[in-house]
Amino acid sequence: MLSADIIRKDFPILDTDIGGAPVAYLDNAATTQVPLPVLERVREHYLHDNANVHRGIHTLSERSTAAFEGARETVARFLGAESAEEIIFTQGTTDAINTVASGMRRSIGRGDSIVVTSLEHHSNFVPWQQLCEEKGARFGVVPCPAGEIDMAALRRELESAPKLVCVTQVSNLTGTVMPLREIIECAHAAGAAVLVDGAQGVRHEPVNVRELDCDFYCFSGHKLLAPTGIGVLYGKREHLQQLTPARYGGGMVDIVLASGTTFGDLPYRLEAGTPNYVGAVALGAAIEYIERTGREEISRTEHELLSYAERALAQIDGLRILGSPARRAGVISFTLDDIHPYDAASILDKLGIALRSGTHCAQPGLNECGVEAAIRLSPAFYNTREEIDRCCAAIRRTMEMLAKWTKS
Amino acid sequence: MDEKLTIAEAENTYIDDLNTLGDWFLEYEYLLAISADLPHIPKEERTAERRVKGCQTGVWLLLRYEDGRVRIAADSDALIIRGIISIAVFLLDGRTPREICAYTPRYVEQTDIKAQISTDRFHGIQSVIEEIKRFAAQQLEGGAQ
Repeated sequence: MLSADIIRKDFPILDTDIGGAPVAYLDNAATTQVPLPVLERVREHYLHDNANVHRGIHTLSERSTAAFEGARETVARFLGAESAEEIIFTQGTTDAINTVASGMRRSIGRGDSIVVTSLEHHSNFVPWQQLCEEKGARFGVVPCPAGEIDMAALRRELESAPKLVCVTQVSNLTGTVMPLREIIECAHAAGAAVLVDGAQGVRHEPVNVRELDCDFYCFSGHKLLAPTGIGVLYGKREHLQQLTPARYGGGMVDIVLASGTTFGDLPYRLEAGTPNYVGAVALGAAIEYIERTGREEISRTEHELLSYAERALAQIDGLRILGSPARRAGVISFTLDDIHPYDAASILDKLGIALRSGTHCAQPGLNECGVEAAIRLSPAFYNTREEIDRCCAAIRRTMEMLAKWTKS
Repeated sequence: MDEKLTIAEAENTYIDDLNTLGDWFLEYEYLLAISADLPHIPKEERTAERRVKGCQTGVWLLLRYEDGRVRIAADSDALIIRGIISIAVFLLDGRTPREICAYTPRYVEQTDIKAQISTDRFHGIQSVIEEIKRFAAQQLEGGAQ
C-alpha cells in the first residue's frame, strides 16, 4: 500500500473541512483531485512557455509546441500506442466518442449495425443510438444481467457483422471489469472494430492498446489527476484515417482555396482550432506523477480499498450492492432499503462524506438492476480505510435518521 | 392552514421556524416532518406529463382549477425534496390564481434550504413553483380572478 500520509500532502483539497471533519472524498469516479505538481506544471507553462502551438516560429511558440507534443508522446507511451500520431487530444471521453461517431457519419447506412452493452455510460450509448437512428442502421444492446456481460448475446449480435462494437473497460455503475480480450477477439473475428471507453478503467486497469488490440480507446484527463477539458482519443492509424473530421477550422487543413480544401495529416486533421494545449501539458504531468508514484502501486491500492469498502458495505443491514461481477474495479454502487439515494447523499454530505447519488449517466444499466437511482462510492489511491469506516458509520447514522420517516 | 393568513404571513412562519432551528440536522428533521403531512400521489398517477422538468429527482405535480381556487397535489420519492415542495403546496393550495400570480417565493432563499440543497435541485424547486404560477396565470387569462 502507498503511504496515504505522504500522498495526501499533494492533494490539499482533501483537508477541506465539512461540518467539522475533513471531507471523505469518495467520488473519484466522477472526477479525481489534481495534485500540486500538476497544478504547478500549469502555472509554469503560463508563466514561462505560453504561446499558441503550431502557429509561430518565435521562441515561446516553439516552447509551447514542444511541451504540447511532448505530452502527446507521454500519452502514447502510457497507452502503448505505436506512435504519437495515433493520439488525438479531445475535450474528454464524451468528445472522443462523438468524434468517432461523427467521423463515421458518411460510412454507415442502412443494413449496418453498431453494438453496445447495457452497462455503457450514456456517452458511449446515446451517440451510437442517435447515429443509428439518423442513418437507419441497427443499434444492438448486449444485456449485462447482474453486472456481467452476456457473451452468448454478444455472439448473437456479432452474427449481423456490425461495423463497430462499443464497450466500456470498467462500468461506472457496477465497477464490472469487462472481459475485453475475449470481446475484442470475438468482434474482430466477426469483422467488427472495437471502441473501448477507458474513462473508468484507465486509472485502475493496466492499459496497453496494442496488446489489447482495440481499434479505439478513449479516456478523460479529469479522472486521471489532470484538470477538466482534456481527454484522449487513441485510434489505430487506419481507423483514424477513415474518420471524417467532426469539426473544421484552423490547424487541420493543408491548402484552402475557394474551389476546395485539402486536409492535414494525423493527428492534426482531427484537432480543429487551437487545441487545449495547456490541458494536454497538464495531462502529461499527471501521467508522469502516476508513473513516479507507481502505476501498479496505485492500481493495487485502489483495488485493496475497493475490496475493503465492499466488505464493509456488505455488513450494513438494508444495503444492497448493485451487480455481482466476477471482477470489480473503481466503483461500487448500492441502494438503501426504502431510502431515496438523494436523501441519503444529502445527509451523508452533512456528515462530511462525498458520494455520488443519482442515475450515474447509466440509466439502461440501472433499469437492468431494477432501480431508478443509486449511491456510488469510488475510492482513489489517496483515500484511506479510515475514510471508508467513517463513510459506513455515516451510512448507518443516515439510515437511523431516516428510518422513522420512511414507509415500509 | 389558517385561511386568514395571507400567503406571505404563512410563509413567514415557515421562515421563522427554519431560521430558529439553526442546525442542519434539525432543519432536515423539520422538512421530513412536514413532508409526512403531504398526501401521496398514487404511483399510477405519476405520469410522464405530470413530471416536472428540471428536477433530477422525480417530482410530480397535479394542478386543478376548482371553484375559483387552484388545487395542488405534488409528490417526490426523495423525502427532503418532498419536504421542500410541501411548503409550496401548503402555501399555495386553495389560493386564487390572482394570489398565486402575485406570489414571489422567499422560503428557500431566506432560509438555509438554499445552502442545504444542490444548485441543480434549487432550480428544480424553482421549476415547481414556476409551473404552479404558470397554471395560475393561464386561469387568469381564461377569465378567472
